Amino acid sequence: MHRHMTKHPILWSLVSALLLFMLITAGLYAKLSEPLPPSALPKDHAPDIANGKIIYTAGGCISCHRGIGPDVDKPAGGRKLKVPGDTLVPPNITPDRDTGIGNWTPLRFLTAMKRGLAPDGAHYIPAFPYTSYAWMTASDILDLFAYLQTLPAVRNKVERKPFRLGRFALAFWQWLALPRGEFRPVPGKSAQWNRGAYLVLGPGHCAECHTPRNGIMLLNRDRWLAGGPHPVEKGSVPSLRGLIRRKRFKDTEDIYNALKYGEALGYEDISSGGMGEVQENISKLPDADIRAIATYLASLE
Amino acid sequence: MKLKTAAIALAAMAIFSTTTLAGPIEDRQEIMKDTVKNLKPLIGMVKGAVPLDLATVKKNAAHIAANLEKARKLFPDGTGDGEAKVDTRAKPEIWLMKDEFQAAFDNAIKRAKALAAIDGEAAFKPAVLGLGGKGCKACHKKFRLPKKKK
Repeated sequence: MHRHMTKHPILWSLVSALLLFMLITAGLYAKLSEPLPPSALPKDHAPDIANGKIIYTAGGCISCHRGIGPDVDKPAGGRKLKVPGDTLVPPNITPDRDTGIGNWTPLRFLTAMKRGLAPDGAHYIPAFPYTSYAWMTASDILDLFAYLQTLPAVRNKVERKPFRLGRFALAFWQWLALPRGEFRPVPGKSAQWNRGAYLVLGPGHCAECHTPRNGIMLLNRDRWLAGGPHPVEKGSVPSLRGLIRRKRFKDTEDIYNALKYGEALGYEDISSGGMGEVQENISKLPDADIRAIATYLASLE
Repeated sequence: MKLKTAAIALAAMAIFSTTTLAGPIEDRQEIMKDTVKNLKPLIGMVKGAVPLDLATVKKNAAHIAANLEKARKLFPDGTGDGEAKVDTRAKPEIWLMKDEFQAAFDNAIKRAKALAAIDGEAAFKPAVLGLGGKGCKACHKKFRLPKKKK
């Protein structure tokens, strides 16, 4: 044995380097697949279902999780969704115990939303925009969970599709893409501005389409909400910066009207490329929240 | 004789330049622009920027309904995005779901006619929102591509 090793020093160092690499990768993968600890749950949180519904609306959950036929207004999943490089079928998030999220715990839901991990430890493909949801407060996520549990349960089994480039790549990508920590109000800005920033950044996940991505699909934070190519269609996603300076809108009120009424009031570019659906969701938010979003967007330069 | 030929050639050119040179894509785009022009003042009235004037509302709404009747016939095969030389945001869905596309036009025309037939100021705002929302928006949402980068 010893003679062998001295005979082939290069081979042996290669083998041990490879072993070490595999060990580190396996360790890292295990680390990146860990669910959140119970300490991540806020203490004594009494779920606010009304707030959960607002978060559900702001997130536009229904737009991707929409069911088929009679379940068109329930998030029962099962419709095809085009994403960059693939076509997926979003899952059933109604409280059905076998095919939905009826037997999930709040901690499982929190882990899915903030870490992008399924209850069985699998990593979700980022078409599920957890890289935005991770900015949300745990209490909002638990309120959303409580609201989802009040919806009618629909039995609809949807199989999860594996990530094309493999789960290691996805785990590593998540590690790069997930924000460290959640949204913190910016001091010196109004409560309204901060509410708008939170809704845009977190539940609204606007950056997923309105911020351009680099070669490995990470958001280019230097070009925050500056627009870019449409993720799945031809054409482009407009920049949300300098909306008033560039004369896209007259003032904050004008942006509010666009979000509230969309093309119904002549804002004709707010209905193509998926934005029609988004605007419909936003229009169902409380007026104060729509104004908050408009206030934040109007401030982007 | 020569003069006659020249006159015919001139006349033919005139016809060509007004009708055939501009294809269905340009025609429908012009109609859409004209529709927006007619809708703009009504939106101003909803927002309170322009005083409400029911005569203008009825006239413009009838004009929009007539425009849409023309536009619905201007989507022949081969005039979608990428199929023709002219830039268009017409999605392939228009030709994949022809019936649904025409039904969307039916709906928009119905709403434009409803706006043209309103009988009082109270009905004005919901009728405009109905036309803009269920009419224009619902169709664009399904059948129009996002804007292209200039």
